[in-house]
Amino acid sequence: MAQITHTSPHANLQVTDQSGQSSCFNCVIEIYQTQAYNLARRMLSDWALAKDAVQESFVSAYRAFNRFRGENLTAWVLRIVSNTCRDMLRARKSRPAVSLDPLPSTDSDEPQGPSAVDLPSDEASPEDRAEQSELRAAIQGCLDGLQEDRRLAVLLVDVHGLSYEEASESMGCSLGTVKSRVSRGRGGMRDCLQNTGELLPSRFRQEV
Amino acid sequence: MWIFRSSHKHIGQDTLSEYLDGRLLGRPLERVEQQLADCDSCRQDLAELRALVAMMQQLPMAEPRRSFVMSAPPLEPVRSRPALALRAPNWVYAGAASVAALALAVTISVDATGGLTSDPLRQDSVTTAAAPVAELEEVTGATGPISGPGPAGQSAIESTALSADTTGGGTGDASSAAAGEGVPPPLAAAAPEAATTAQLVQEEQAGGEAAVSSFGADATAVPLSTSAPVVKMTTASQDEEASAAESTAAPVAAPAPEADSAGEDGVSRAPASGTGPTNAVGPARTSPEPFERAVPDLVTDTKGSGTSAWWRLLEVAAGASAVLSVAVLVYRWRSGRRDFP
Repeated sequence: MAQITHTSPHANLQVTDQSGQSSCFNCVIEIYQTQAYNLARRMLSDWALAKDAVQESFVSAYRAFNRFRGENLTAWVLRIVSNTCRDMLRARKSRPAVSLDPLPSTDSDEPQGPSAVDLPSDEASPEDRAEQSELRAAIQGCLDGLQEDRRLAVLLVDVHGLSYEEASESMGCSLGTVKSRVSRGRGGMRDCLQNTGELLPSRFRQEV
Repeated sequence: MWIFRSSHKHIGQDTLSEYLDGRLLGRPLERVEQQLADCDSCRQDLAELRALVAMMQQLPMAEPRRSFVMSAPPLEPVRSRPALALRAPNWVYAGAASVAALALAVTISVDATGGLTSDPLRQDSVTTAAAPVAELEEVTGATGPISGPGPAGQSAIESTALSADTTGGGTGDASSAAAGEGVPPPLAAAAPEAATTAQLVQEEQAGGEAAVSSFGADATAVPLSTSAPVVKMTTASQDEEASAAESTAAPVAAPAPEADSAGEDGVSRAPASGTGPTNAVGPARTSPEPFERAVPDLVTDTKGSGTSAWWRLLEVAAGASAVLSVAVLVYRWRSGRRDFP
C-alpha cells in the first residue's frame, strides 16, 4: 500500500499498521468515506443508519488499524463496513419493532425521500429522471430481497468493482464462495427485476 | 460446472457469471464460447446478465453530505469494549463453564455417595474399637493424638509418664484444634469418660488458651485413669493430624468406661454421662462395641455436618461459577461482539 500522506487541512491522526508504516487516518477516511457510505446505504437501505454505520466503522478501523497488514486497504475498510452493517442488520432483526422500511430522515442535511435510492442524479429530463429513480428504487428493492451474503457480494463486485479476490477478503470467505454468491445474487436480481413492473424488461431489451 | 440438458448444453449460471467477469481462461473459456455460439438461449441469458451488471455498475455513488473526517481521535471505547472480565475470548468462558459444571457434578456425586471425609472417620472409629487397650491415654488422646498420632496408641499402653509427655507435646495442637473446631458438646456428652469430657468442656469454655488449663486437668485425670484400666481408642486419629475434630471425637467415642475416674468434675460436666456411669460400672473391655456403634454415628453426624457444610459451599461455588460463565457467554453472544481483521 502506498503511503497515505497528509495533504488536507484536517487533523492529522497518525495510525500505524502492522508492518509499521504510519498513515494519516483522516486521509484514509477521505478516500474511502464515499465507498463506505454507499455500501452501507445499500446494505441497510436506510440513510440514517448508514451514517451511523460508517461512523462506527471508521472508529473501529482507527482502533484496529494496527492489525491491518498493509495489503489491500480498500478490501480491509469495506470489510469493516460490511461487518458493521451485518451487526446492524442482526440487531434490527432482533428488534422487529423498528420498521424495515426506510424512515423519512429527520436529519436536514440528507434529502427527504421514500428510499435510499432516490439519489440526486445527473442532468436528465424529468421523464428520464423519473424512470431512473424508478429503476433505482426497483434495484434497491431487489437488493433488499436478496440474502444478506449475496447482496453484499453483488454490491462489492458489481457496484464497487472489487475483484473476486478483494471481495473474498472483504467478506472473509473463499474465492469459490464469492463466485457462487455473486452468481446467485445476480440471478436473484435478474429474476426480481424481470418480475418487477413493465418498465424493466423494456429497459433490459434497450440495454441489450 | 456444466449443466447438461437433454437436447443441448446449457451454460450454468455460475459459469456464465464467471465468463462475464472474464475469469475463465483456456479450455473452459473455449467451451463456453463454443456453447454460446450454438445456444440461443445461452446468449439471451448472457445478454440479460450483462445488462444487469452494467446497470449495477452505473448506479451512482452518493457523496455523503458531511465528511466523516475526525477532528480528534475517537474516545476510548465505552460501549463497544466490555469490562475487562468480559473481554477474554469466548473459549475462556466456555472452558470455565465446563470446568465449573464438572466440579459441580463431582462434588454433588461425592456428596451423594457419602462424602470423602466422613469415610476415614468411620474407619478410624472402627479400627479404634478393634484396637483396645489403652488407659489414661484418653486424656492424652483428647489432647495428644493430633500431635503425635502414631505413637499415641503404643505409648498409652506403656506408661503414664509417657502419656504425660505426649500430652505435653500434643496439648498445644489439641487445644488449638479443639478451639478451632469448636468441638461439639454432643461428643463429650455422648462419651461418658469424665476426664476427656472435662477437658473438652473446659477447652470449650476457656477457648483456645484453655489448652494449658485443660492440660492441667489432664494431669489430674491421668492418675485417676490409671486406677481404672480402660479400653482406650486414643489411637483414633493416628493418621491425620489435619482433622482435629477427628482426634477429639475419636477419644470420646471409645472410652465410656472411664467414667469412674472422671468422677470428679467431669461427670458433673457431662450431661450425657447417664450412659457413662453404667459403663463405668461395667467391665471396661466388654463394653466398647456397642459404644463404638453409637458413637461413630454421632461422630459422623457431627463430622458429616461439618464436612458437608464445606462441601455444600464447594457445590454452591461450582454451580454459581458455571451459571456465571454461561451467563457471560450468552451476554457476549447477544451483544454480537465481532473482532476485526
